[in-house]
Amino acid sequence: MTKELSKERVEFATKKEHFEAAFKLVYREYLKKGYCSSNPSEMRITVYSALPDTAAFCLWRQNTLLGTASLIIDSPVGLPIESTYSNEIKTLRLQGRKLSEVSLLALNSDVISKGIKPLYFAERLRHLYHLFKPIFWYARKSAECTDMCIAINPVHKMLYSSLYFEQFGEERVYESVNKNPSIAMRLNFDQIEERCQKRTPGLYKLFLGNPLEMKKISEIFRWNEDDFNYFFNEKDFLTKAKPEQIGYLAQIYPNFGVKQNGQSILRKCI
Amino acid sequence: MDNPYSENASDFIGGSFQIPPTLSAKYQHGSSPSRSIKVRNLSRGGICIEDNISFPVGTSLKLFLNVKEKKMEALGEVTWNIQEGDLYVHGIKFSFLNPEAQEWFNTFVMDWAASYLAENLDFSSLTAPAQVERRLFARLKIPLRIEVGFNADTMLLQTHIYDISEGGLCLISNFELKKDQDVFLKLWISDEKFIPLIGTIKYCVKKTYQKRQVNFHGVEFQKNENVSKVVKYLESKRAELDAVELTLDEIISQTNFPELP
Repeated sequence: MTKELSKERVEFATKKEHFEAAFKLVYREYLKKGYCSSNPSEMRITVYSALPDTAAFCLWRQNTLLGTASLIIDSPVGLPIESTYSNEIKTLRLQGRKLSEVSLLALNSDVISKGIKPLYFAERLRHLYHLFKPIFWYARKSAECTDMCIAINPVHKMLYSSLYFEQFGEERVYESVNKNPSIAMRLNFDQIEERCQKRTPGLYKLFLGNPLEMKKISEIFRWNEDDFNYFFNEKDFLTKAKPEQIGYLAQIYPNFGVKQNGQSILRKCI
Repeated sequence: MDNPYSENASDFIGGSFQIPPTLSAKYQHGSSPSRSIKVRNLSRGGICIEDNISFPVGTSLKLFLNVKEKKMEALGEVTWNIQEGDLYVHGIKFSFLNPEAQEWFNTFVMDWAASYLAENLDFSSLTAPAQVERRLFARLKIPLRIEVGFNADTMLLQTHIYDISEGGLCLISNFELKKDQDVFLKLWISDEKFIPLIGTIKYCVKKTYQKRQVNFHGVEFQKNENVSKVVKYLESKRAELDAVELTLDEIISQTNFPELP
């Protein structure tokens, strides 16, 4: 087992091939679960993936992508979860919380589970932990957030509750995952050590016992024009983005010729 | 939608987490005396047991789960069985566990799995970039012998370094030293000669090195007169290095690359 584990590594996606593998994995897994409809590019991409502060984490075993998740930091264009839990997120912001959201989470069921029911399999749990620890530390320390949000299917509630996520939004229909049901959960980082150490020493040891220090993704990676065009301008993933989101992209990438529905967007201030 | 109950043999057999070999359960048939059966594995959705009696698939069982001081009752159903020599291995899924017990057991399994995995997951690919620029000096990979202690008189650990610079060194050990811990060092630069140093642990990263799981510790030297001996030693070592000299003038003159500062 140690031998097998030693070959597994978590990395930031920083190259076109990494992003392509990650977006394709999310698409395949979402399609299997009915969270998205088929599309010709066979990738699942959102406008939030284009943001310079979004970190895409990839779990690899040699050249095989075992899992991926993206961490989106709250910004002028907000968080994906707001599409369904707008008031709840506003309330948290008013409380002074600095929010982040785990999104585009997928584990490779072709490699991991071999047809076994997802997320309840020991190996899946291991991969989830392997991805979640750096995401936790990135959100908490590198991005200095106070909370990490996630919209999940209610069947997974118990798994996230065990990881100290608390529900803050009731069950609703989540449009962007093909109208599947969702609940909103968040991990409040305040006093997490105290809460975790006594109740779950194993989780404490894994997640909190050895803090991870990571650079901000914006110090390591920035989209170049070719890759931005490839993932965002040449495909129709920005079609559903709101005007203010497109305007924001045009503002932060003034030289990329940000397009929506094939039309160039002039730089706008929002 | 996802189903929390595993129904597949490989969910248990050869699974990722090892459980204590002594873990057993009591089995009681009717009014006959109970006897012990071995538990091979458990997951969030069920348990795997072995016995010399085969329970057919579909058999319902009452399960009493005693973990730490908790006692829980569940209903289970045999979802698969396979024969291994004289033994039968069974996968039993929980067909009913009250919500409170389910939540508790779920957390227990996740906590236990986390405890088992805590030492084994490798995050060095993510944290390494942050460490690359931690030092202000170029590193030299020289596997010098080093002794480490928490005071000047008693050296507790003998190991070797991975690399060294004028600002600090990276030492390899089986033990994990705490970040910000001050350490006293004897850096052996030859069989007879050592430099006494004081350093502070700046980071600790688990890595696989020479097929072993070890801890790489970044140690920053505290300033004292002995650091100058390290500087001299490194100067002499650098002077011995082979060198490759590359002239970039021609490339720069043909491109828009800025000149080097």
